[in-house]
This record gives sequence, C-alpha cells and structure tokens, in this order.
Amino acid sequence: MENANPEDISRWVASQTRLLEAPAEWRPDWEIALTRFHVRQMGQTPPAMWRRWLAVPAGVALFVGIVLLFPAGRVTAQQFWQFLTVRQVAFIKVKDWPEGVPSPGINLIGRPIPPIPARDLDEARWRVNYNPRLPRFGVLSGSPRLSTTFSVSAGTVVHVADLQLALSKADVTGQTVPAQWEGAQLTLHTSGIVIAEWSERALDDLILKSPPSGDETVLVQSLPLTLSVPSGFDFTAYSALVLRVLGVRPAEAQQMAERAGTAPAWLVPLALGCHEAEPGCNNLWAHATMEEIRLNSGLGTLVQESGDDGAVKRVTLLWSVPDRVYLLSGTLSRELMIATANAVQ
Amino acid sequence: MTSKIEIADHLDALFAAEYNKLTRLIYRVVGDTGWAEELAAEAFWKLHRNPPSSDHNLAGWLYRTGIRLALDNLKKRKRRAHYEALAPAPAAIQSPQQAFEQQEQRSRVRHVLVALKSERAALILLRSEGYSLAEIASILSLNPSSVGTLLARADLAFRKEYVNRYGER
Repeated sequence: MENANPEDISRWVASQTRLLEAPAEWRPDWEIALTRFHVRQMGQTPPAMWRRWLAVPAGVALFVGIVLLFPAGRVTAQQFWQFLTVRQVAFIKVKDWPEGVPSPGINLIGRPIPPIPARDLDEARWRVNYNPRLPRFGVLSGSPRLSTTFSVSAGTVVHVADLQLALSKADVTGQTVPAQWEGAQLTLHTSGIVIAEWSERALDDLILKSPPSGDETVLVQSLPLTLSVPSGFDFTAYSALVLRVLGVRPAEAQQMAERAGTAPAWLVPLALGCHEAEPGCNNLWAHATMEEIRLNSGLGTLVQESGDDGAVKRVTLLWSVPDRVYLLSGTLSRELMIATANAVQ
Repeated sequence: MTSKIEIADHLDALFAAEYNKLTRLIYRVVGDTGWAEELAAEAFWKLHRNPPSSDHNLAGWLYRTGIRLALDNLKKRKRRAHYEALAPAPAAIQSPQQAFEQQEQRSRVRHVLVALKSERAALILLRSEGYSLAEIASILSLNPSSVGTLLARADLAFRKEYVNRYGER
C-alpha cells in the first residue's frame, strides 16, 4: 500500500480502528458517574469507625441483626431511629432494655473464622458452593478483594419470666408471653459468606494520581438466612414483643417483626459494632437514621451513620432476594449505594 | 471573556449529554470499560477544577481533554498488557488463535495511535466513532473546510507509523 491513494489508506485505517469499538452491550451510566463526581466534590474523608468495623469478622455481620430482637446488654441506649417507609411516616425512639431485667443473650455456636482471601470469583464460588454476585463492572472502581468465611450460627434461649418482666417495666400492658415459650432455643444460620471489598483510594493512587477520596465499599452476601425455632413457636410474635419492650409502637412493631421474620438481616446495622465484644466497641449508631427504600429487587433498609457534626460518615444497605441476603456498606453517598445495590447481578 | 466560567451550571447537563459518548470514545484508546469510565470522569473533574475561560464548546473541551488523558495514560500505563487482556472482544471469536490475533491487532493499533500527534489521533478516533466532519471540526476547534485534509494526513501518518513498526500487511 506504499503507493496507495488516500481513499485506500483511509479505508484501511478505518478498518483498523474498527477493531477498537467498545462492546455493543456496554452502557456507561452517566448518572452513577455524576453521583460519584459529586461525592468527590464533597471530599469525603475515611471514617475511623469504618476501619474498626472491618476488623469485626464480617461473617458475623450478617446475622447480628437478630440481636435487636434479643437485646443484649450492649445494645445502645437512647438510639434514635428514623423509621421510614417509602415515604417518611414516623420516628422511632428505641429505649434501653429495662434495667434489672436479664436480657436475652446471643451465643455464637462454634468459633467465627476470620475471612480467608480468595484469588477470584471461581475460588470464592468453589468455597461457598454458590455463585457470588457483584455489581456490574464499572459501577465501583477496580476489582474487589474477595474473601470468604464458613457458615456461622448463633442462638438464644427464651425466658418467659424475663420477657414478661421486661414488658411490665416498659409499661407495655395487655401482652402475655405464652408459657410454652419457656426454654425455646432460637438459632439463626448463614451459609458460607462471600465478602468483596473495593478501595477507591488504591485506584486513585494508581491511575489518576489524584488525592485519595477515602471511599471504601464492602459487599457481604450469603444464601438466605435460616432461622430454627421449636415447632409451634411464633417468632413474629416474639419479635414484636421484644420491639415493644424497646419502645416501638404496636403497629410498627408488628410490621417490623413480620419483616424480621422473613429477612432478619435487615436489622443488622442497628446492632453493628455494639454486639461484638470488641475492645472499644461503643455506640456506632448513636446518630444513625434508618429508612426503608425501594430497590429494583424489592424493599431494602438503608442506614446512614452521622458524626457529631451531622455529616454522613457511612451508609449501609441491606436487602434480600429470594436466593441471597446482601449487606453493602461504605462511605459512598446514599444515591450511589442504592445504584450499586441495583447493579448487583 | 477573561474570567473563569461558573462550570457548576453546566456540569449536570454535560454529564447527561456527553459522558456516555466520551466514555465510549476513550474506550477505543484504553480498551477497558472501567478504565474508560475513570478517565471520562477525570476529564469532567478537570473541567470542574480548571475550567476554560469561555463556556463556548465545553463538549469539545471535554473530548479533547478526554482523548489526551486516554493517550497519555496509555503511554504511561505499565500495566497496559494486563488491561488489554481484560478487554472483551467486540465480535464473536471463532478460535483461540483468532482471539489472540485480534488482541494483537488491537494492541498494535493502539500503539500506533499513541505514537501519533494527539490531534491526529483525535481526528482518527472521532471519525471511527462516527462523528461527521463538521462535528469533528467543532470538537477539535478546527476550520471545517480543512478537516478532510487533516484527516487524510492523519491517515497517512497512521499508515506510515504502522508500517514502520510492523511492516506491510
């Protein structure tokens, strides 16, 4: 083609550059990009609490939601929850477990194993025996660090007299605890758990040489949690009673208990950091707000933790689909977390 | 106009109108969707941090910046081979041998683009992405009547660079 005419050369160059076409099925999402841009503008800083949370065996995180229903002594005092349905309907103030009344305790069954790094999704899949799902490529920056844990179980034993006394001290009248609940063993089980972590700081440093944003995001997933209760035990009724002790109004307690019965993990963040016997663990959620949101796959629960200055420090989102339970937590904005959850596939 | 424009007024609309197109254009250079999105976002960030003195043709400014970022990053990127390996093939692959050859060919084309002057690379990239001569002229702030000539020169430069590196084929 040394002496080829310009048109031939132009056609040849066009044929070469045609090889570089982007995949037809790829759809860059400008809304996510814009949200990320605004997050970058805000110049978020990494919350110290977040790193501490990461130190907690992540496998435990998926089931500790139930701790709300068995409020251990460390469940925070005077938490204020902003309980929202799709539209804001009410504020719920959660009180202490009544003083002087033994609270149901959670006992881990077995010893939690720290997450074990996995090279790739195939290795994670091989370990947990299901297909881990991630947000579609490009929603979060870079490739995640993967790790897995074994299944985890935890349980508690119901003591009727304690619960009745707690109801009485909380001024909840007209509620009777069935005597046949005495000694009921309640146990929650996870499957093997897959943990994926994204660190945008590393990517920024690597590619763009820009100041670190501090954004870190973790997605934890399990097969649906299974709850073992004695035959005939009404877990929803039990959950509602515990919520009443904590100050939740009857209708809301019933609504929350019904959801907790089918997806206990939705309560996880309310107890996170205050259940583990981790040194220094304190009231992570003293400034937390909670809202119910609608995802593409159904309802989810979103919790925003704020610092003393009122700025949101971390966002945690919980949702479930028929074959998975997910927890997504990080320092991205509320909107981006929702977009990320919707992109999990 | 000498003062910096207030770019915030334009950003959302620019994202909506240009982000996807810019990202796909950048993909041609870097061959990785995630990387392309990062660089497109970086072009917007540069617009925000260091806006031009006029709001005339901000899209063109973004495209020029995005292409330059992509070319510069590809030059510097030591992990290029890794990322190119990640790039999905745009067409059905019939055999591993064919996949390898296509991968090699894409890599060659990108090497040649990076070796060209950035304006020539931009001309070729924009045309390959389907932009008209008038659009290319607007994006690159060129005289519309000269774009055809400049493109022909860019094609010739591409061809020469390719032959110098890889020989006739």
